[in-house]
Parts: sequence; C-alpha cells; structure tokens
Amino acid sequence: MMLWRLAWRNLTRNRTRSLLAIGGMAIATVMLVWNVGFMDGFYNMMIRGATDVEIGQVQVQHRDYAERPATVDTMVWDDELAETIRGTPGVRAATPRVRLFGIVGHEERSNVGLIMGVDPEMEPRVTVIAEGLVDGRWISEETSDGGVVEAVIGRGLSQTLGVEVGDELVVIAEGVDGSMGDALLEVVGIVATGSSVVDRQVVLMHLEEAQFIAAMEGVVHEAVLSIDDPAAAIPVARAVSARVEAIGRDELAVRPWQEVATSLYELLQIGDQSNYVIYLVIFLIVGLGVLNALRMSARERYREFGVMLAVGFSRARLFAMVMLEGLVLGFVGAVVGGTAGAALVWYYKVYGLNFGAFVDGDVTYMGVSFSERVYFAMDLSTVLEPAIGLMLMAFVCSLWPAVASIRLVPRDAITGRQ
Amino acid sequence: MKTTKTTWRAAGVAVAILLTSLLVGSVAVAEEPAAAEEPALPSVEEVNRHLDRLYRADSSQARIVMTVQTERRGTRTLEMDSWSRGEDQALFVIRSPAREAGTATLRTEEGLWNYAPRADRLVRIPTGMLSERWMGSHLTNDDLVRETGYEDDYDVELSWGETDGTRVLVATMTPHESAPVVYTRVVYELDAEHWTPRKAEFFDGDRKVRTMEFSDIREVDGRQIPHRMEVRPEDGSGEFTRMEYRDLKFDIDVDASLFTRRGLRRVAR
Repeated sequence: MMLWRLAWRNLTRNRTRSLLAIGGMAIATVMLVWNVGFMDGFYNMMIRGATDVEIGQVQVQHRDYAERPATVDTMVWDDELAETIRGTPGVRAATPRVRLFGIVGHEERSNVGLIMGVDPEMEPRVTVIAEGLVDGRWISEETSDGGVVEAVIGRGLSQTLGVEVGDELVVIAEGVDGSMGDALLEVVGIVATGSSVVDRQVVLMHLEEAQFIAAMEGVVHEAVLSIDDPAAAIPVARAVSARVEAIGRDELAVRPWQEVATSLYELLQIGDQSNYVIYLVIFLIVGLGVLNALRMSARERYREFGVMLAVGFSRARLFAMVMLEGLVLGFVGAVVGGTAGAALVWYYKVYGLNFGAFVDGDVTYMGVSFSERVYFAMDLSTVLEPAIGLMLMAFVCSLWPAVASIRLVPRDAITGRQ
Repeated sequence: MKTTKTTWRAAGVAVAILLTSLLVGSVAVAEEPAAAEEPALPSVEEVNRHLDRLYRADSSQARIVMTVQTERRGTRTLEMDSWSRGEDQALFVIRSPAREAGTATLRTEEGLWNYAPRADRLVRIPTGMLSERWMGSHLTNDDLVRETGYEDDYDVELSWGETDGTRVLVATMTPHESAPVVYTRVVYELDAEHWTPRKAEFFDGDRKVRTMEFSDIREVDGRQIPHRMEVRPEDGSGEFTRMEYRDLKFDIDVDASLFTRRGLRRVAR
C-alpha cells in the first residue's frame, strides 16, 4: 500500500511530466482504436460492397456449377431446400437465381448479356441490385403469362444498346436441353450498382421467365444468401452445408464468399497484414516517447533514490515503485485514450465517415463503389485490444528505468556521480 | 508442288455450312510447271474453276437434318429449311422440334441475325458471339460468315496425299500473318478425280482442334455434292454435329425478298 502512495505522490509531484506522458499514451490509444474501427468497418464495407451487389455472402450451387459454371448444371429448388437454407441460424435471407449467357439486343445492335432470373420479392432482401435503380422501377412479382417480359438492365448495357425505360429488347439464349429460347422484353428499369459485371452485362427478369427461356422447370443455378454477420460467412456456410446434406442434397456445394470471390479475399487479407505493420509502427513511436518520459522521470530522482536506498528502502521495493509509476501512467493513458477512442469510433459507427470527401467522383475499386460513407465497426475488442496493448507497452518501457534505478550505488547517486 | 497466293472463297451460302470448305475462287496467280510426279498437280486456278462450276449456284434450297451429340445434353435432332441466293444471302429456319420451330438465322451482305420466334424480332448477332456455337451445334456463327474471310486471309498450297490407300488432293491453307483468323492452318482433302471435298482439318498451332468430314456424295444437277457433313471437336469428348441434306436443289426460283425481315417472318411463322 505504501508503494501505491509513493508512486502516486511521485506522479502528482511533477504534474506536467505525468500529464504529458499520459497524453502521449492516450493519443496513441485513440489512434489505434480509430484505426481498428476504421479498418474493420472498411473491411465489412468491402465484403458487403463486393457481396451485396451480386454474389451474396454464401452461395449454394450444384457441385459442378460451383467448379465451372455451365447452364446444364442446375439444382432442384423446392420448398424443402429453401426452408432448410433459410432456417439455418445466421441466415437472413436466401434467393434462387437462374443465370444464362445469351444475346441481348435488337435489330441494330446487340451484345452478350448475363440473363439473370431472380425472385423479384426475395432478391432485394439479399442484394442491393434493386437499390441501384437509376431509372424506372423494379420488376413486378407477376409473370407476363406469355406476353412481354419485364426486365431491368444495367446502365452500361442500356448505353451500349441505346435503349431506355419503355423500350423493347430481345434475348436469345441456349437452354439446358441445348434448345434456343427467346423472349421479348420491355425495359422497366435501369440499374447502376458500381459492379462492372452487373452494369455492363446484366438483364434481370422474373425467375420463371428465365426458367421458361432455358427450359428449366423447377430448377435454378444458384441460391444466394445474405447473412447477419458478413464476417461469419465461413461458419454459416458450414452450418448450411451440414443441414443441406442432412436432407440428402449432397450434390450441392455451399461456399462462403471467401471461396467465391477469392481474389477479393486475398486482397483483404493482404490489407489485414499491412494493418499489423501500421499498429506496430504506432506502438514503436509511442513506446519511444513513453520510454523517454519514464526514464527521465527516474533519472531526475536518482539522488532521491540514493537516499532511499541509503536509509534502507529495499531494492525490490524501489523496482516495484518505478514499475508501478509506469503502469499507473499506462493505465490512466489507456483508460482516457480508450474512452475517447471509443466515443470517436462510436460516432463514426453511427454517422459514418464521408469517404467521398477524400476521393473524386464515383470511385470503384474491384467492382466496389467507394463513394459512400464508411461506417466504422466497433465491439469490445476494438477498444480493449489497443488499450491492453498500450498497458503492456508501458510495462515494458518501465523495465529500463526500474532496472537502472535498482543498480544505483547509494553513495554515488547521492553525490550526483551517477 | 506448287504454291500460289490467291484469293479463295468458299461458296454456296445456302450450303454455307456444308461447303465451308468450298474453295470457289476467282483469281489465281502465276502458273508454274507442275512437278514431274505421277499425275500432274492441278493449279490452284484449275481447282478453283472446277469448284466454282461445281458449287456456284444462283440459288439453292434444301431441307437439313442436324444431329447434335453432346456429352451433357445428349443427342438433339433439328430439322430446318435453308435457302440461299447469290453469295451473301442465306436463311435457315428450324422446323422441329416444336419448341424451337421458327427460330431462324439470316445472313445478308450486312451481317448475321437471329430471328426469335416468340419475340417475333430479329436480333443482330454481335461480333463477340461469332465464335459461339450456332444453334447449340459444334458449328460457330463464324462458320456461317466464314467464306468472306477466306478471300483474303489464306495462302493455298496444293499437293498429292494419300488416305486409306486412295490418292487425294490436299489443299493446305495458311493464313497471312495479319489475318484475323482462329486457325493457324486448315487442311482440305479433295477427291483426286472429282476434286470434291472429303475432309477438312483445322489446326491451332500443331494441335488439330476440329475435323469436318464430307460424305454421301450424290449427284445433283450434274454436280458431285456431299450430302452429309460431320464436324467433331478434337477434344476427345466424342461429341459431334452431323448435317444431312435432303432435297438439295440448285438454281431454283428464290425470291430476293425472302432475305428480309418480312420475308423471313413469312416463312418462319
């Protein structure tokens, strides 16, 4: 107890010195917390951005289709499968899709298009395609019954073909049986999602219309899932896989986005590693400052320490006292910095950081649009990890002055020769 | 052995597919004395002239049965009608199976279109789709318009060869360096006597990528015409597309208006 009082008295004796040391550590903690919150938020945004547009966080397909997409490799989509997938904990929504490559166009111009048959009601719960509407409206839930089929197309495609909302289009695609199917479409909406694949190629229509074109009754190419926590795609995919297998559908492959969008995943992992380098650099800079402050504080008092040793203060207690001073500084710095950092990150978690302020116009990277706000991610570890890291650092930095102090020879220290 | 740089052209658009190989040309270059081998090797010009006589028709009409065998989709049989007029106009209309009846491909001087019967619209086939399968077969859209490419893209070299103990005339076509073609070499085998195409092999580098075989040669209008053509990709899959011609007629009355949107609709619906 006496040690505590001694340490505290020493720290309050030179407040400027203590406050500066605490301030340095607090600022370092804020920086770290902010950085962790930002990077995690950015990571989630990248995942959401890359997966919400088209691929979802988890996909269910026929094994062969997952390996190499071919129109013929369909899977039966029935209520049992749908309920099995949707009933898995962590799954927010699941929507079936038909994907066909074919010709889209009219008499004058045409292009290779990705015809996507979607469930008009479920699709917007899984992906943000429908939110990307820049003109017109989303496809309605009723089918055309043999008439003109409603379609929503990508903005790039609409420009290539020179069609607008209200214009007609024709699609021709090869079906599962090798037959050629076609349909007359009316463009009811145009989407711009930021994903170049979607914007340049996609033709969205009612699932059943696409099934009719490709002669695929009751079967689809994939089911795309949205899950509660995008970072938990791997365990959720595993859970879905187990449940799907349990109902005897072992021909299906369930893949998390990490396996579907491998290049994005690798990129994010590289980003993750470079984060640790950043943390390390911040720690080093702050560490040197803290080390200097603690060492100077001890050096200033060598004469005092000499007297203490001379009157019988044990070296063990002197060591403990100096260490305690450093730890108290570290603790206060971590608490102050952690609180401030948490408040800051919480603010950006709620209101977001306008990333657009740093980039010009509509910047897309790997098909992800960055023109939106970055909403920081925050949980307990966002604050605790940097705070604990800082306290550990304060501990390590105290070692030097503490060791130096107990190696003092009382006579030399008192006379100022050490 | 004799090398000539010439502009060869495939002919007979109606039978465009069947006659992808048909090297009807107009211009031939420098004559060299044929090598002193057994029968004198004909000049490229002579073969050209012959094929020209053989296949050139002002018009044609045929019923075609196309069988497509694929690993994944099994065997599919289509029946279609075809018409041609001049060198550039051709029309194919699928008659059966019912699901696809009316689906058509139209070729004119201006390009290639597909007719979508449900939509009742024509859609231009984009250049990006030219190398795609035509009607799900092993022929490509490019095969339908290919003949234009042969004109300027290939050097032709004639030689004698032997297949199954029979002498054949071999025409080896190598594209010019800058020619926008898929194949690095195309080798045709012609019947030694009648110079009727028997086989065509398409190479990419040293690898043979597909083979066409022409058989069931019958006389039409005094011409020796193969009535069956089989194309198989050389990928070991065992897949093939067979085209069999029924009722092949030349120089009949084919109205030019057939090769328009309206004319197409008239016969397709």
